[in-house]
Amino acid sequence: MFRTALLRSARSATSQAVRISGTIARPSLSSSVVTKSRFAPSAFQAARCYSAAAGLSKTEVEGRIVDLLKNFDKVSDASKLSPTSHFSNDLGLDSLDTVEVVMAIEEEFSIEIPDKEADAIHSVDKAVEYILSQPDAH
Amino acid sequence: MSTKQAVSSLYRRSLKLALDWSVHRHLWRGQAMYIRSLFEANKHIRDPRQQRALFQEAEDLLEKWKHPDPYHAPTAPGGSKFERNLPAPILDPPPHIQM
Repeated sequence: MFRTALLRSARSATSQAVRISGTIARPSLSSSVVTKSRFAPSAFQAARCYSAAAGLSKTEVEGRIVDLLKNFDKVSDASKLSPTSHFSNDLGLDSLDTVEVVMAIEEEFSIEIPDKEADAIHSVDKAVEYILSQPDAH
Repeated sequence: MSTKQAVSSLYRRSLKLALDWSVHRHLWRGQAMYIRSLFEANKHIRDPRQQRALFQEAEDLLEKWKHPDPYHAPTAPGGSKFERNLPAPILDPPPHIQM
């Protein structure tokens, strides 16, 4: 019984091995003809890679920044929160609060804002504009 | 640079430095509140000479606690992913040469 089982498995193994080697051998014959046309650069760019940046839409960035400010306890009047509101004039934040908000935005979009550009962000639309100009923000 | 800008720059740099040392945001939060209280304590000082002394003191503290390996976002200059996967400069194939 064992002998027949061994023989059967050996036979199936050899037949599979032959079949596999056949399939491997086949493309190597025609590859020199096919590959040139198949791997043109235009065909590669058609599909988006998994590592590629997805890009952010403007409404999404605005929504995330407004949500962030909604949870910020020093905002005096939450009803004035809009995509155009100014941090100090509309929301009643002082200059140090503005610094904290900018740091929170940095964390939210996982980017690093240089000090000079961070000083220029005083309103929600400025922040949205900056985030949209950064390809690394996500 | 006005005093307000100088103070917010100092505040931002101290927060960044605190974040470098305490990597996690939940640990950093308490330190940020402490730094905020230090800044609030000297809020009403109007004398320029006293202000200058305070600025100098803060700068000295920042220099003293400077981090040897500060955190950079991966895609920022100095980060581990900075200028990775740049687009190839030339995508057109070279012209075909007839021998």
